[in-house]
Amino acid sequence: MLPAAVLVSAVTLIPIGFVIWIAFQTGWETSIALLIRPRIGELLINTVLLIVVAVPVSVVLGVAVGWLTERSDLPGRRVWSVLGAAPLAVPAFVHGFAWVGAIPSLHGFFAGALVAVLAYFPFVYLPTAAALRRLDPAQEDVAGSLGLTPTQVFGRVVLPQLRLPILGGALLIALHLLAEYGLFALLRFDTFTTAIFDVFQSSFIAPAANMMAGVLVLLCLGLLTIESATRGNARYARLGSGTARETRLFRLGPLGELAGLSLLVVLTALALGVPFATLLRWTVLGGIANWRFNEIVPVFLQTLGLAAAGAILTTLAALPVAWLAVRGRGKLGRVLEGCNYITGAMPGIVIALALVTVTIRVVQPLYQTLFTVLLAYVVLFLPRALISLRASIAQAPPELEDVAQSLGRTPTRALWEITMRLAAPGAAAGAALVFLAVTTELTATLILAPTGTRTLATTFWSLTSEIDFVRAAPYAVIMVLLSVPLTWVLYVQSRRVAGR
Amino acid sequence: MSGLEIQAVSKSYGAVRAVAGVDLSIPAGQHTAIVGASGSGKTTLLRLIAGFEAPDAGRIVLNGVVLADAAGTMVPAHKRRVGYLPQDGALFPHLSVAANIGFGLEKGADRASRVGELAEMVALDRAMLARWPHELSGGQQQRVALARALAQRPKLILLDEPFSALDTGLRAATRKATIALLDAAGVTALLVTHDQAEALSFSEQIAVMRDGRVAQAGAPIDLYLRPRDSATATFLGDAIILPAMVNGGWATCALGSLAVDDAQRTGSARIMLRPEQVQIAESDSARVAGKVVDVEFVGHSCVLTVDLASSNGGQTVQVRSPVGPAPMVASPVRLRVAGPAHVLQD
Amino acid sequence: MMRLFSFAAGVAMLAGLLADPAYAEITVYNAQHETLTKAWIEAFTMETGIKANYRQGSDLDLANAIVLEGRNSPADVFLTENSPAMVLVDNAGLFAPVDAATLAMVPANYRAANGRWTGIAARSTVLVYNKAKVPVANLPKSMLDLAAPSWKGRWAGSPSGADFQAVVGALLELRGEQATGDWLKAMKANATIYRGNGAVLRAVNAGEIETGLIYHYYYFQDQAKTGEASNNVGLHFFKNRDPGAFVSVSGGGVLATSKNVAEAQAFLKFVVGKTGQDILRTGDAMEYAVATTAESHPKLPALGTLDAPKLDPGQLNSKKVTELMMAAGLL
Repeated sequence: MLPAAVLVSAVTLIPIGFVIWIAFQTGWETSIALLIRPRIGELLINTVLLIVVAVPVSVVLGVAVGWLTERSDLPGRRVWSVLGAAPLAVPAFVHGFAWVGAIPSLHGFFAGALVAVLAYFPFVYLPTAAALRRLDPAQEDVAGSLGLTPTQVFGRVVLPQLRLPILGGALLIALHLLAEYGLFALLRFDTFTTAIFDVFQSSFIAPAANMMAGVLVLLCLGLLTIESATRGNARYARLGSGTARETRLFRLGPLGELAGLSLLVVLTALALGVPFATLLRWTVLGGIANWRFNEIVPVFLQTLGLAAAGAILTTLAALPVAWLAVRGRGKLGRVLEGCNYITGAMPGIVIALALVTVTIRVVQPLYQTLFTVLLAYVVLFLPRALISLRASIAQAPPELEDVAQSLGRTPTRALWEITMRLAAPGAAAGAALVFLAVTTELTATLILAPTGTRTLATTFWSLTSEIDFVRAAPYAVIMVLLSVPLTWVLYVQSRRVAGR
Repeated sequence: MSGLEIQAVSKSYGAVRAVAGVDLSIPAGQHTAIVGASGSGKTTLLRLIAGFEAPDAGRIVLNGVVLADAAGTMVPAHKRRVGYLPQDGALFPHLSVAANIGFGLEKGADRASRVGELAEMVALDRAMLARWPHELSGGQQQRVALARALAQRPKLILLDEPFSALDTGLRAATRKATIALLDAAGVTALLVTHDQAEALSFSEQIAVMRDGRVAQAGAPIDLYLRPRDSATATFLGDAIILPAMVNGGWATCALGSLAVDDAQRTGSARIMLRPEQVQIAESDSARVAGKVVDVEFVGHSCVLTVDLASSNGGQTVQVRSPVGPAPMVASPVRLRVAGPAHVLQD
Repeated sequence: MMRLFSFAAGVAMLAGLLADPAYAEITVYNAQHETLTKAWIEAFTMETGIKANYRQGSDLDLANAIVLEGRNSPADVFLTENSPAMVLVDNAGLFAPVDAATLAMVPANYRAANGRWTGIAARSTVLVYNKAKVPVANLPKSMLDLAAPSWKGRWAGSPSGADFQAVVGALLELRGEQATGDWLKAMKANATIYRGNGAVLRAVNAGEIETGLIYHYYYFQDQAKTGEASNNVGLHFFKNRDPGAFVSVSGGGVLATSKNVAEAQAFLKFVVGKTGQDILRTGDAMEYAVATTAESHPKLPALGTLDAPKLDPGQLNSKKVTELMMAAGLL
């Protein structure tokens, strides 16, 4: 297990190593010249501003929706709680596509921030809602008995305990903001990722693109550092069986109810209504003739094949790392695990650029092969598989493997028959996440996949760049339809883990 | 020889020597208990025997077959046929009771009937076979785990605090049933526990582990009455330990002059008495006088703390007195000592 | 565990079968519109029985990929939208000479003088304007006028695309480095930046911005469909051999490293031949046909009437353009 985990982690470090290596190759002066120029400043301001605005807004929205659906007596809160997670079923660039379709003039910072918030706030909402469900209501009773008003109880007892899910969600959103290409390209808002893509598509000056990638890497590392510093010594709470106690619901009153409902109605209209209305409109405009099944079916099957292979390989690669992180002694497991999170935080474009150059220069036979694009998926999406796999392995007691060995199973078979069997639901959830991510992955697929590969996302992208929105619509619809069941799984999983 | 032979076995994790040169042998068919505080290395020793870990040094031999030695022999766990019964049973939660019991059996026609036999053997109702582990009580789970371990007719069975998760009453009953079963099956057994009562009643031999070493091994009664040092003495039960001057089989201490079990030893030493050796004397003829300073009612008896008059308020001993009209605090009592005191080595 | 690995390998192979059709005879690195090249390939396969596979990308990322790949390039044919990408590959010495018979079908001004690549189609620069917002009289006489302060905030462009960079390449060739650099700096100040010419067209149509510098076919393509992105738009061709009247040549070439030279040459010949060029006339690509005898789509103004500046398409320098644009803060 250890060699496998080391190998996986070493492979995932290739892209970062590559960025550093290029920086050295480029030399100090050229690097400075490429870095210290007004355009980089512009991009830096844009990118940082985006994070500084979109992340807090998403947090406020996510916590508000979580509280309303879990702790208030809002009418229809069960339905709202599902609708709150539903925007995740719409890939971010389809959100962008829908908004540009609805309001063609929409562009720039506020548009980018708005749509990003709508696409990503569930990343805060889901874990926050789960944590709210898990909190022991007795603590709030005690706080009340000590003379705190309900607002004070929320601020001093509830909110501090939501710190970890909020931080986790905020980090996830910030990393997505750094990596997202399609959404911001459609909304004409330049970030480092879109700019790298531009350079890549211009008379590509490799050092320039790589220096920008380097800045992006630094931003990612900065975010990870801020997050871990803010988190302090607190660990992400191990998700236990939770309290069976029914929580008391906060009475909103007519005014509160009105405010809460308005918020949710507006949010749902923006985050779900707009995408669905636009997609519906394009679909109706295109009519049945627009569903060119001879084109769509092969693309659909290729996407399924890539996503399935990507999901399985990523889960397999995550296995030794997760196992070591849970069972291993000492720091090594944690260090290896950390490596994978760092690389997973990198945008697809950085990883794609690295793998293109490495395969062309070092392992030519692997260039533009299925292997390389799958490798990119593994590197990009390993953390998604790792998180749930790790949690589920942690729930399988190690004694079970010992017992199986004492009953004549080889260590590998014991691991496989017992721990892996018990971790299977978690592995499946992780694999589903990776599957979904591959389905909507754009940049790495465009750059790395074998010639002739067309996925739903790349075809959709190619058609939108020919501004054939009508013909692009079926691909967006299929991506959304594929995402719906997986989003449902995520939603159910987040509730089950929370102990209900 | 047949049985388990452990010779100079060591195992370190980094700088920590978890097991530091243990020698121990268990004759075939016999039961041995290893007791020790947590961190004493007893679980590591068990894992070395089971084959989950490889020793850094030393030899482990089972029925004449070398399982592990310094020359690099390392029979993997799954080839040792050593049964393992961990804490709270560790039943596979994704398998039914029948599948749990049959886990180590070859797939074949007689598997179902063998599972039935095993269930019967551990007095498990056959109706339970279709159930899931979480539907069983703690005691039932433990019996399933035992049946599962016995299924492959192990040459040795290792029990790692298997009864600790059970309630007090159930624990004793399960222990008894387990001993009977192991005896019937004629299996060599090694029990790891931190519960001295469990260890004393389980086995023909006890090994007390401390700091990765076997501090003392022997028959339960020997260890109980004649521990080598005060740590072992107090670990195996309540003990009254007093400084004394020893000479010619007699010790002079705060309890007066007592017969000791060591005629050779001379000079100052520490002696040990078990509390049940010291009783409240009905008659005034008993020699030792003292004053009750504390009375604690613990259900089946009272524990009196008695300040010995001879020590001028320096030495107290705890004495058990039957429930009934116990002496009041501050009342004078006289004490009587039964049997010889034991001279400790430290 | 082995079972799982073999299962994964199976899935990977399945994906491989789906993703990597091994039957392709020639590999086209295609930066032209996917729809157009697909039509060419289908007709070509129908006519010759030779199969072709394509890798979709944009001009310069594919050109750079080919240069980076060097001798190991899997590409047989490279098709672009604009000529700078062809020049980039040619300068790296990676093209084989195009068959003389193929070159003979294309006028000299639409192909490289050294005969290593040929034009396959062409597109003209145009200023699109919102008919409601800009009176015809107020339109600029030259593309260079857009640098004037009076045009601040009144025009749009998509500098990240190869299309626009080809126009800048023409400007560089016609007016030199200083003038081009100044014009780009003025653009950074004056122009509203969009991503993609289609977005510029939509913005002008919607009245978000008065004018936009794009290629002609975006307008005609949209008109051929719904017209919803172009009905309010007028076209202003600069003519007078202005840099803004630049006609960009889409190129096609055969890689020197191709292992299927005969098939690759046949494909290129097919594209500039009767059937290939007819696809431009009858299809909805709305790009100009370039072969001597070929006719373009009847909806387009004749290529000869556009009075484009005289340029050797084999001279456009993409590297310098990128440097100048980076210096201007546009990239």
